[in-house]
Amino acid sequence: MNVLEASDLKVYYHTAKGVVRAVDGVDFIVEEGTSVGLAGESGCGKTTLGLSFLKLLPENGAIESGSLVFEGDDIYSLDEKTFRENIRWSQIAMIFQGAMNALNPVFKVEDQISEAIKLHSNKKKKERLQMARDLLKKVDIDPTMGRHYPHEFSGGMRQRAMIAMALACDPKLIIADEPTTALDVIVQKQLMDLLRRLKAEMNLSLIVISHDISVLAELCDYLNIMYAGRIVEWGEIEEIFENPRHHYTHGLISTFPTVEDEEKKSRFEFIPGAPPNLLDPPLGCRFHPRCPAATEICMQEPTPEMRRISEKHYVACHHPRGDLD
Amino acid sequence: MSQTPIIRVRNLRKLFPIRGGGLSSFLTKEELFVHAVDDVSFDINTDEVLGLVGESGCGKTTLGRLLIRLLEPTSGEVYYRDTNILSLSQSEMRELRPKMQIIFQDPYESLNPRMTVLDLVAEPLEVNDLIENDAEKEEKVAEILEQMRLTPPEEFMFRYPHELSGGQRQRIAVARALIIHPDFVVADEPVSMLDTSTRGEILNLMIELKALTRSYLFITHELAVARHFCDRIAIMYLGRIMEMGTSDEIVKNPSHPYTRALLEATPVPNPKSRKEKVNIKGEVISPINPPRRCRFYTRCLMAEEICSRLEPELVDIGGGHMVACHLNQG
Amino acid sequence: MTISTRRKRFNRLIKRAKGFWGDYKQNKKGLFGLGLLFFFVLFALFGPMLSDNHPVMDWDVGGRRVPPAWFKYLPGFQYLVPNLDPIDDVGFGDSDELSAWDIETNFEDSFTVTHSTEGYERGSGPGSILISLDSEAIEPSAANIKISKTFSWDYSNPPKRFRTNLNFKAEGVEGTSLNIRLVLVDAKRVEYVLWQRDIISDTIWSYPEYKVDSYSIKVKMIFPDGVFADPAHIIFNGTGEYEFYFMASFDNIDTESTVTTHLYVDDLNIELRGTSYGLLGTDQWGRDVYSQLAHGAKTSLFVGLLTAFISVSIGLIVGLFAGFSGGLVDEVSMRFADMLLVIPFLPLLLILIAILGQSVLNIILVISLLGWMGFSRVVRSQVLSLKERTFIEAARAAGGSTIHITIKHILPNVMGLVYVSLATNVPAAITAEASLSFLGLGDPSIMSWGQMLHDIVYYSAIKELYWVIPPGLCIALLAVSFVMMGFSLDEILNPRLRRR
Repeated sequence: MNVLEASDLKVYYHTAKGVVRAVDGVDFIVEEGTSVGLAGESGCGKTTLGLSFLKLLPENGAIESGSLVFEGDDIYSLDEKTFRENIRWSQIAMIFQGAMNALNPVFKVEDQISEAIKLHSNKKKKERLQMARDLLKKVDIDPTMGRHYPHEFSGGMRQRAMIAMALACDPKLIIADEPTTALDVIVQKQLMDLLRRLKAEMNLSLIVISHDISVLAELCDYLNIMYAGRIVEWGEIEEIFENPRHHYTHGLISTFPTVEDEEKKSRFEFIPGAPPNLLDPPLGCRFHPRCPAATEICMQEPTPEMRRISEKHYVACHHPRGDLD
Repeated sequence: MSQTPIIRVRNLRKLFPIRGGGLSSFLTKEELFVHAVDDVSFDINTDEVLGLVGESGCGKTTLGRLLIRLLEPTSGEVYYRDTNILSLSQSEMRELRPKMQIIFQDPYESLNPRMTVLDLVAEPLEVNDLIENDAEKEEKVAEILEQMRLTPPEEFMFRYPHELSGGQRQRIAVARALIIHPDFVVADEPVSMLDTSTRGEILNLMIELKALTRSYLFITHELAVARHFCDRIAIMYLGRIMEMGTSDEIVKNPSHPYTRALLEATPVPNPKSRKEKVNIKGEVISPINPPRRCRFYTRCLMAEEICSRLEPELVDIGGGHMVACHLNQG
Repeated sequence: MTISTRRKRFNRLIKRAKGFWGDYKQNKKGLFGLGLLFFFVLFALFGPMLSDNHPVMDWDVGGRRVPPAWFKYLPGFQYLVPNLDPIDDVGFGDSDELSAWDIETNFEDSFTVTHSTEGYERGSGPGSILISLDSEAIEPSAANIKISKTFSWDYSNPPKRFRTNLNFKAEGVEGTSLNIRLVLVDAKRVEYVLWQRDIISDTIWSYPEYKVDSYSIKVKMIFPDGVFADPAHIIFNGTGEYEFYFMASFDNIDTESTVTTHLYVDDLNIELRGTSYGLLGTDQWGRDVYSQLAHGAKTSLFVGLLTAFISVSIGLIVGLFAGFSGGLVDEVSMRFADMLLVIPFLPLLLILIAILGQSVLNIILVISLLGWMGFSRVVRSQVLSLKERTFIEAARAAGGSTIHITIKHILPNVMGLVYVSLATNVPAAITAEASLSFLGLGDPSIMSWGQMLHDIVYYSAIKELYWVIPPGLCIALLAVSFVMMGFSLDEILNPRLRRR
């Protein structure tokens, strides 16, 4: 069963310079109990997509069209009040990028978690605090630390506290936006272990948004590759890493240096050029200006549609890698 | 690779005093210092790229700045060839500046937003009186921009930093450092702010243009990048070098428990090689007046009694592979 | 290549300027401020040309303290009358000007009336009427000559004031008795002798021993009410033809004498000062308020801009110096600034001006020397934060000296602040100058809006709205224009406020 299903989702920002099509016709599926990765360069619209699942877009942004189904129920047409009361945080929670900004510096950590519980239940304060401490324990923080303030926490602990807060209302789905960015590798590794463990223990579904595909490789079962507002490849993670069909996906994977290589490389892979401006994306396939395999057809409208490679592998490319056409 | 060192660092220390707030400074006699760099010695050879790898707050950025005297150390010596640069006067130091350059981490911060690319790239030439006139300035800038693949150079010369992408900005920063052909460049996390897809381009250019310089100190928190970019790697933890050796040695034969933990934690873009738990415990201790023992003691799973008493020295365990660990000294 | 790249650099600059203007155009506040300033600059440049009256020196160009001419269209002000000058030119510069006057005598043969090139030097200069009396041709012993001007008064209301003028010189009066007089005749032919004098001997150039003026007590004493009389009110009691004349009467003429009697008459004039004047009326001394306002605009803009420029420059230099050198220099200069900041501004200003003397330059100097502290603190803090920016470190790593870094890197990054501060300092300087002038410490030889307000209060004319509103409104509007521009510059140049 699918926890979340989005189809043909369009999210636009209306700015002084024009309409930014941050998410431009995206299909997205999260199966129950799986974790789905969303990878892409900065500015490709991946955070916007994550926020749109929670309907938490900035003021100048709006979901223009598409459908959003959570556990079989349409949540796209829910009004703000119902959404807030029944879905946001209680069903779908989020771990934000940069935990320092997401925690309020003037409240104790356990109070902040208890506050999050209060918004969606009518439990007594004592009960809530107990729950908060249990949650902290669950994310490997000494529950007595709950009485401390966020600035007394290390970066890793703050991010754990954020996870505890996301878990506060026992949600079905957690969206983690760059959960490990700006953390040191060891802390990052510990955090990823924690997320994996929690997912298994609590039967969570996860959406992990990151520019770092090695993080996604560690955490996810499925991977979506996003480029300039569109998903260009989707599939099972191992399949994608082994046999990337989109040239962009291949680029992303091969540009990532790994310590496991036997030989020291003398050259680094890279994707030439820069991602397009979403105010005025290129015609045709949006990747064509940077693509090594681009031909005439790639420069013409329409943008290539997702096509099926296998049961669980789709790609939006006119000349997928490995095809000899 | 020649083995004559271009930079020699001896017992370098940098302590940042902590000013206690009001009352507390009256109440405590003990002076508090952040031990950012604590007794570090190493050489950087001619034509060599030395990687300095460590987590945030380990003092690697401070060390980089100390090497070119953008910060004054608390004690110790830094030799450029045979000159102790710490004994130079301000004006003598300025004469030496063209020999040692730095590339900063954040290309959004390190370029003056109100200067054109032309002026930014030519600044090192101008302040060191290395050019005669505007024509020569433009010629030299055009040349390096072309080498940095910012073509055609006339397109870029009159732009301002905000009109460039992150990768382009960082290439400007690299061009700035290399235009005066320095002997030694400190590259302080030059690609960590960039998308992985564009990092390779900058790194390749830095390798290609190594002809313009002699040696790099490449500061990074990513072992994976250092493994491929650097000839040798030094692993730093809480102000001290824990292990140092060729990058192959460090990656394939890590001898310090911290290096091993780092390697285990470094993510690999391969879902099939998911690793299990990292062999490390606890969190980084505070760098304020750390106790005299192995800095890694509190987190080491193999720690023995001696580790809590003595601070290990960096010793050669063969072939230039140096480790500061009581348990791995041959 | 150099030439083409120069051009490119220039084009870039133009593009940047256009970009700035594009941003500025979007800003309504900024446009409003700029428009207002543009108006004031035009006013300061061309406004004074529209009036011949000197704002300080030209007294009595209209009735004293009278409202503007256009007030008569307002209800309740229909009684207002304008100035009337029946005589166009009083100089008698050439013989043609005699024809403006009616000259009649009882013995035409005895008198010759000619134009003389001699004239009263301190009056209108060369040129006068010369009346010569040939005694031999006279049969009777008495003769008189009348030089008169008839004019019509078309208003049922009287003017505020009339003034007459006369300079004369008599030669060869010995032996005759001569009486000269100035007379005003009203529409009902009632004659009012405003002044008369018997001349018994030769005179040098002379004038009446009192000002023959409706404000003169001597003139008032002609009337029954004496000092309480208003001669203008009494004489100009209706519409009609009025006559003003000068009369010389000779008596006891010695017909045997061979001496020709000469009487020179110069600057003979009557002026009627109405109860309204010009665009903005007049002040206590009958000076043109419009002219004062226009010249005041010049003063205010000059003082405001120059003062802001000086004080911002001082603030910039001190702030840069303090921020960049740090340590003792920083400490000393900032404590000094603090010291100046805590001394109450106005009293210090008053004392300094009192000591240095009341001149515009002193005012500018003193206001700017007391106005740099705030800005220097702003610059200092900006420099302190800039100093920590990586690009400063990068410049240092490149080998840049302190001077290079300050000029090339710090300065361009505080220029935004400078523009904003310039714009916001101008109104402060304008109001400071106005306050000083208002308190009577302005430059008395130069008119400024503050001086005007000072006069208003000094002569208790707060209720004279026509006089109060223009300078008050101008100070406020000019200040507002700069504040608006300051705000919008701040919004454009300070990226944190910039709209995304």
